[in-house]
Amino acid sequence: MPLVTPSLALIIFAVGAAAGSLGALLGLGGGVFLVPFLNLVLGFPFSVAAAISLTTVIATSSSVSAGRAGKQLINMKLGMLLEVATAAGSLLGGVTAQLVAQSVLQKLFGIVAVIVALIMLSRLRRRNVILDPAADPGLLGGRYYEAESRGVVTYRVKRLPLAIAASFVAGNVSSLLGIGGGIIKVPVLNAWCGIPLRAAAATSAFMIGVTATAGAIIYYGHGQLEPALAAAAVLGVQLGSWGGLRFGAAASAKWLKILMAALLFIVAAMMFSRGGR
Amino acid sequence: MTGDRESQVTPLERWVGVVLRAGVMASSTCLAVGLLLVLINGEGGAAGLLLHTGIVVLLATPVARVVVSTAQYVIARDWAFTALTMIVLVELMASVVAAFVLNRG
Repeated sequence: MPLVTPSLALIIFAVGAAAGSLGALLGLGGGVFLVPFLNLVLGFPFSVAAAISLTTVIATSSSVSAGRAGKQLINMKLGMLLEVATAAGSLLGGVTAQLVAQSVLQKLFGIVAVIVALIMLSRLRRRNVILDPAADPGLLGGRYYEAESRGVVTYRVKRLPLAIAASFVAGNVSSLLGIGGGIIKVPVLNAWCGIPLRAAAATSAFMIGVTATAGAIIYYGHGQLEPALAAAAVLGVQLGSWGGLRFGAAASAKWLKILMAALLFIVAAMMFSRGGR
Repeated sequence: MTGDRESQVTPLERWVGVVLRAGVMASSTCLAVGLLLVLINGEGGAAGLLLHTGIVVLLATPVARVVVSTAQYVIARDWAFTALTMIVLVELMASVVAAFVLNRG
């Protein structure tokens, strides 16, 4: 376990703030940047890095969803249904993480980082297919008011088994690697399950608190969570994502996505070279 | 469920918002004060207690959110979603059990 010093706490706070603001701008959690920094740059064991990152995922999910509850963007029914799958995946991942070698987790992180980068690049311009506002959203669909178009957006959920499967995988990867997992389920929910991007992202952000908790409890119980460093990371990410959200709709900043995709390819290469040893 | 939904907040949404907001405020406060005390005095004592309390509250917040959701679905007599949220609670409890089992190993 790393020794807690004021300078280490300050570094983690600052990196958390950077990861949190990047995450908010890109619509990701900050975990995909925080874990490699803690593991590769600061040299923390992978499980210690993942545990700290999961606490920031929980904090971000809770604070973002607290502000959104009651604004209909979060599809609570769909979220609570899919949580059954994400929590199961996360529980399995948390147990698996205790049993496999760090090098395996690093290679897996490398693969996921490449997938995340490719998804980010392929989604530089993305449109939603939206139903007539008067349409029936069905049992699991939703309806929300969109300020930009000044209209009510209505959608139905298609291919529910696929959404459940993607949620299970996202939950599994979340607790294995210490990331939120939204990057895996949001594109699936949006591209194949008929859910508008903003509703998919808000519902995913709502779910990842429960998902990450199922994994974080295991790391905490196993003594892999250093509370002081987790505190520094949580407070940093909270500040960063608050700041990132203030910049608003910069998620359309194409160059930022390309830059981050490039960064993720570098992270993947580093994870592969470490994991290969 | 037809008509104007954007103006009305359901009891479920209101409770979820209250639980999440309270959890974030309580855990962030404990973590911030605990971290400051660690940096001033070093670990142990009140600082360690505050930090662990902050972490436990952080982890308990999503669990509490599921508990209030279950309660609201029971009140609404929505048994399908009562069952689904209870499965999520069982999964969260299973992760507590897994934490203890792995810790022995």
